[in-house]
Amino acid sequence: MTADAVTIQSQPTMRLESRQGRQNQDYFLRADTQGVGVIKLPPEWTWQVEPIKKVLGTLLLPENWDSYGGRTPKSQAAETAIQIIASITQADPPRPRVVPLGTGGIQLEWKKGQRELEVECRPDGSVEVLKIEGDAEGELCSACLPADVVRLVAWLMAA
Amino acid sequence: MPVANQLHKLRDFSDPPVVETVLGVQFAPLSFAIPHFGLYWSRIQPEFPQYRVLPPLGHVREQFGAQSGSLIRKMGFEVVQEPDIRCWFLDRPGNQIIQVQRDRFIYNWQKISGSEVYPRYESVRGRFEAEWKQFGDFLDQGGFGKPEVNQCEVTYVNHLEYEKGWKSFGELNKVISCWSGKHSGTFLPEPEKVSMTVNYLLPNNQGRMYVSLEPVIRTRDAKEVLQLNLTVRGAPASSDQAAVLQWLDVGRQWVVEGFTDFTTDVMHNIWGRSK
Repeated sequence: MTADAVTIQSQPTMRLESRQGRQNQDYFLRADTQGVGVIKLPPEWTWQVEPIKKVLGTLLLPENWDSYGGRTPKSQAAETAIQIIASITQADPPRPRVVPLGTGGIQLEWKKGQRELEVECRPDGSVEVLKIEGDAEGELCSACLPADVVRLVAWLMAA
Repeated sequence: MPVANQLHKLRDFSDPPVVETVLGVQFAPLSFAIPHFGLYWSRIQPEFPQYRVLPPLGHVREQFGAQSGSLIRKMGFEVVQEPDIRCWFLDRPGNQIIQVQRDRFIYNWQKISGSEVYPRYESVRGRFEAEWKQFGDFLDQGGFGKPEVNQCEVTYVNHLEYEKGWKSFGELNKVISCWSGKHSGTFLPEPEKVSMTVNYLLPNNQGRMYVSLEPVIRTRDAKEVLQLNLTVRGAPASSDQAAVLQWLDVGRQWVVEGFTDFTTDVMHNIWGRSK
């Protein structure tokens, strides 16, 4: 049998710039007939894979996972966290720490020099960010969009 | 020859890597409004008590011959009086999904925990047949008429796990029979990642098979796996149930035989090939 058409993509080790259009992609959106949930890995993803696996891993936690009544993180929180991670296009950013929250949310934490970001992805998928610099009091930003978080990561990286 | 006998002649595996089977039909768009989804759901709700609302899939038609660009998606502007949606109706454990939109009816069986035993095509086909008939009865009684089926689709989703016969993309030749893994020179290292799509034409313009291979993270266990999808799409001889099922049987035959040809004997042994 002769193939009708063949497309092959083999990922080079060079990191590619992310495309603008991918920033608003819903990674949980079922755009085909498939039901089984997967996150497809675009060729340009490198560092993103491990934190995304950690985010998905938090969904496997049982209820009361922290023995203080902690709730299993919600898929909406994971969707937002993955959206944020996937939207970061800066080359070689600091890796986020992925922390499950007892509320059913997921927190992404970054630290570089004197600057810190704590991004709380709430169970309903909304976002709250705490921006900290040195010993100054943190600046709280409620109802942040994933795009705002990407700008804050740029601020963090400028440290 | 009866369908059941034909099906038994196909190559078979005792432990196939299939995680999902999808059987679907596409038809000329119905004047199906939001309340109709609810009315249909009321019929199947005892067995399919959960739902999800998703964006609709595009209307696709395989093209052949001079027009062959493989498939055409309906594009353009359209005055839509009501939001266009796709509804998933899931059974309690989530293994079965009925997907409905105004031009599609799809039945999925999928693994949720990973430990379920694949129920085999004959069973999935039987469920599709029953649910498609019930949907047809609903349309008939609702005055929608008989759907004019223009495409059928069979998709099998397979998850090939690392450390089960292969370890890295440098060993992809152990998995994919047409991938040699060799270069003409010595400059290139082994690939870091590989994704590919290969299309095959069915004879007599019966349809086209799409084989795609890509790395994914599976959400149920946060595990990186290689997803091998085989989708066969084409037009049945008519909209009759028998013609639809006959086309699905051909599609399934292509998926099974295609999967076997596309993968290596080493992997067949791991999956318990018995024929």
